[in-house]
Amino acid sequence: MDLRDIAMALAIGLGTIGPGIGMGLIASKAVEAIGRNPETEGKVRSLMILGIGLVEALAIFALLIVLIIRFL
Amino acid sequence: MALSIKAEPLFEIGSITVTNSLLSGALVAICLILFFVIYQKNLKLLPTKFQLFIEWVIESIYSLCKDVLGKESAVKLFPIIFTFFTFIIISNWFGLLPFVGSVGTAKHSKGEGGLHIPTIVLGGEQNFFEINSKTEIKPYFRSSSADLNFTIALAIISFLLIQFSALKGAGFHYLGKYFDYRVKIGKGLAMLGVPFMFLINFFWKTLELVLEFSKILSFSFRLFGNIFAGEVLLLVITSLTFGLLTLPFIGFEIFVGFIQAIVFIFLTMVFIKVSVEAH
Repeated sequence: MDLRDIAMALAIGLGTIGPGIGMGLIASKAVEAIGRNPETEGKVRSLMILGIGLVEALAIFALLIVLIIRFL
Repeated sequence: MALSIKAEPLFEIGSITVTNSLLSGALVAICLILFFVIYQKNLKLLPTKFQLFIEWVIESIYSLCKDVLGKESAVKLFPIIFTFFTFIIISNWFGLLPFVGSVGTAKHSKGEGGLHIPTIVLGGEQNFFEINSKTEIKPYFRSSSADLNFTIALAIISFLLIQFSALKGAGFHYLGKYFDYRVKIGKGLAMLGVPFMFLINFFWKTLELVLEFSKILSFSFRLFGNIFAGEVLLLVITSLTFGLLTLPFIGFEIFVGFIQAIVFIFLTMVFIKVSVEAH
């Protein structure tokens, strides 16, 4: 096995830990907010998806590093 | 589907190299322009179902715009925001069409050309990465969002939009956010502290400036990474499950394309709002 394969696996594996925790926090807080105040569901949902989109970008950056290791 | 991070050049017009993602981006742009011109010509007072649908889309983006920006700037900025939205979302979805990325020419090591529909080789020595490294596959079309040039261009336009509207809204005070190194001399600050504070201010404002330019990076890599990762995901799933489980993931990619378009315009609007309001 090449050392680059291990580097790729480590990059994506470690890089998704943080965004995973972040996404979980966002979703749990959103569910909590909807539970407390059900009529704001639409607004909270759109904000939640926006936040998840932002956090997802971090995981995507890790993936980008993997692709750079693989192709460049 | 070729798995290369760069767009493949197809032919040249003068000194401009036309890549396959440039081609599909132009195609998407022409289709959108034609669609909206024809749509505008055929507007009816009693709307058809299709017209109602388009109006609903425009209405919901406009209300999002109004929620974030406030009514006055929403009226001014809505056209460009909506253009961003339609262009990005159609570009994202264009990559999911059946012929995109799968029909093209392939150059094997023997040097044969011709119409080629790449299939994923399972088992044996070859996996899908090695198809790419051994044979040169040039699809005629490639999702334009899966090319970094396209997303950087969009990000630069969005960045310029943010800067111009901030300058227009806040005037030259806005530049003070990045170049105002003056030290406020208060009671607690001795004269010796002034150069020190000046240095701190200098570093702080320079960091703010760098941070501002990093918006281009984060905008472009977010869109590119999501769409390119989507293509990789579809390819991997197809090769793992023999194409049986690809359909749900295409649904997921439709969702991701929509979310990324929304995130792009939402962030543009939020940054405009923040930079105007800061002063």
